[in-house]
Amino acid sequence: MAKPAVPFGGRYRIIDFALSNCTNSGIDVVGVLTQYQPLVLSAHIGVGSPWGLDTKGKKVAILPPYTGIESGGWYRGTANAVFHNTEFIEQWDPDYVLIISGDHVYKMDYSLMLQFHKRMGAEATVAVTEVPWEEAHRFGLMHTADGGRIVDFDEKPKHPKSNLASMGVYIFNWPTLKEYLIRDAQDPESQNDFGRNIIPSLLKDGKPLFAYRFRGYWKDVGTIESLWEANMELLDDNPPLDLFDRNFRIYSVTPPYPPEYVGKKAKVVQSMVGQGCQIYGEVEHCVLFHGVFVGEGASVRDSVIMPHTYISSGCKVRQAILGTNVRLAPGTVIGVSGSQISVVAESTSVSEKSDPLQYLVS
Amino acid sequence: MTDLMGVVHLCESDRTLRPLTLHRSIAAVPFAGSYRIIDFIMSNMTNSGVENVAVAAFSGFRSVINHLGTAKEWGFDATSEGLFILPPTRPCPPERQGNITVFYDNLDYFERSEQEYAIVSGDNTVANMDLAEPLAFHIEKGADLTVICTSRLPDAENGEQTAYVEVAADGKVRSIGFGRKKTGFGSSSMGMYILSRRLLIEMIVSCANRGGSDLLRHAIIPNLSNLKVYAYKHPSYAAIVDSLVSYYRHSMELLNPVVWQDLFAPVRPIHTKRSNSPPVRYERSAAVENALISNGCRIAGEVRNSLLFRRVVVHKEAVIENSVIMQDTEVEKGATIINGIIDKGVRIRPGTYIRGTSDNPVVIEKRTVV
Repeated sequence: MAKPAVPFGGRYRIIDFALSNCTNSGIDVVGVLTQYQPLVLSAHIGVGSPWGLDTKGKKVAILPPYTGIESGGWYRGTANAVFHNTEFIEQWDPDYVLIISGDHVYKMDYSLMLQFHKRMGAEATVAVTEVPWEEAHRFGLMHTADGGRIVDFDEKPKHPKSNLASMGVYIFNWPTLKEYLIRDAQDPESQNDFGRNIIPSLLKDGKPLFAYRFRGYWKDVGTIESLWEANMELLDDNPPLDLFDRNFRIYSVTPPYPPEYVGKKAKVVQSMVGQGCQIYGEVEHCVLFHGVFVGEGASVRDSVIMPHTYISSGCKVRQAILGTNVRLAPGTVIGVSGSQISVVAESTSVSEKSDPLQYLVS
Repeated sequence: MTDLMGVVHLCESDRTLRPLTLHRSIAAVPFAGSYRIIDFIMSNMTNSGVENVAVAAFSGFRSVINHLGTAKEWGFDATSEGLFILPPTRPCPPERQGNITVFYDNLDYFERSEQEYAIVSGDNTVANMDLAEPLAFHIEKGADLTVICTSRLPDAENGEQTAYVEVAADGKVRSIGFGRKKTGFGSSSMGMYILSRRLLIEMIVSCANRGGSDLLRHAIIPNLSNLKVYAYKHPSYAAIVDSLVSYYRHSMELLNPVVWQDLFAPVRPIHTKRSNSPPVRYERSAAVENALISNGCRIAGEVRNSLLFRRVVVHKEAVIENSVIMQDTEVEKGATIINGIIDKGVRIRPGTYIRGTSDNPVVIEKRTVV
């Protein structure tokens, strides 16, 4: 499944954060570039109703690769994808274009970044955030002078000299971006990537590039560990990501599920539970999506349970991610507390005879 | 189902429900955690494929219209005929108000509709049903009128408002009556009637001309002997909410898994106005048993045998038992609510103690601070 479509937090998909950020930042027109397994994402986004993008003057457009007489073709990189949709952008005649990755969990008001971009007279602004030094080598890192002007840039260096990582969030003056996209498309050596090609080109040409410091929670959920961790972080006493903030709501598709029922002998603590669930057993420190069933005598801990999964009576689940529509026969044991996470793929039926350690990854 | 049209008329409730109906009709009273009472009959209509639905009211329907809005959430869209609102068009003294008066005011709607059959229902029937079944029964029996019934009888206290139905072995209705004496009939009406549209129009006109105001009392009952009237027994959960006691009792019934699974069957989901709240958050200190919890709630205290509607916040050491807590209410630290019905947007201050009885729950009106 494409990363932006990955379910998160008992209700959402990763892309909900980028889209909701747009809504909360007053952005009316959003193009979503899709290529890899786009069906789930397209169905989820639809015409953009949850994000208020289905009304007059607003728009969300799903932009898959296409063919034309002279244009089109599979997207060869992030910048290439935007380049192929120049026509779409021109339709709206913008002064500025915001490029955001749909892969991350974070809440951000882009209008503040735009204010910064204008104030600095930048041609391009890159949102950056501090990452732990031991992780820095995994990111594109920015070197800045006082005032935030970017003076150098390193893509995943072995010996990082900065710990300001690019978030994959950029604001460009559209005419400038257009010029550099055209130029980049004509370069056969280019990987057509914002981070690897466009930004370094702008830097080399001495264009004013600035780094906008973002200080909030920002999580990449591209690995099993990080997905599990990000979900578990929601369960902290004071979670770093507050989904209940009424001033900055995260919108998503809301199918008509009923309120959840918690049974007479059930125990639910330190967890987030979606609607339509029936819980008759124990759920501790878990994220449950909608429609999950937890039978009597079952015990689920430190796990993420995706929609419509059926955990029969007497099951024991520890430190696992159970995919959508998984069925556990009565008495099944999955996973073990400790450092490793178990993952059961969607629609799997697991019998009680299966080895609890069978689904461990990493 | 293109040959059935639906008409939902707002019902009167008794005085006891007044604290909850002060600024809204029963139809708009929050119920079952995430819904308003009218959502059940509306969902039954749309889930059954009824595409022409009218909501008729003689008073207090602003909240209902706000709730139904464009009706997109119930599945009405550009391709269905739609949802029609039938308001009263002439002033009418309260004692003369009834569904017949509003229907008569809007007779052209009935005449212009093209469906052969009509189902008339009160707004306060709580059940999950595929209307194709009673319709098929009606057609198969060659009935003039079918009364949809349930054998779940309300408690004796509600006897006055309930229509009890005496059904013969072949399904024919022998008589319909009100009052506690009639509980022996064994069935009660769910307030839902199927008849041909033409017969409905005839009944509306002749009843209105004779000064009648209520379909059941003034058109159906007097004509029981000259019409073929049958009773269709709805096989699963059914409830009518028309008093405080029935509101409370039926709310508590939702805490039964069998009822929950019936009412909330995924094959016919109950629709309501879209909400955008996060999943429920249970803190470390949460202790929840036998409860119905809607999205957006945050629970750090004890909740037992209760219903929490959307975005209810229960602080640490707060205790909620046998209660119905409506949306956006906040129950602060150490507060206790036992046998209560708390309307929306209420703030219960720390340490407050509220206790009612199961026959007489305490009702706190919306947006109060206690």
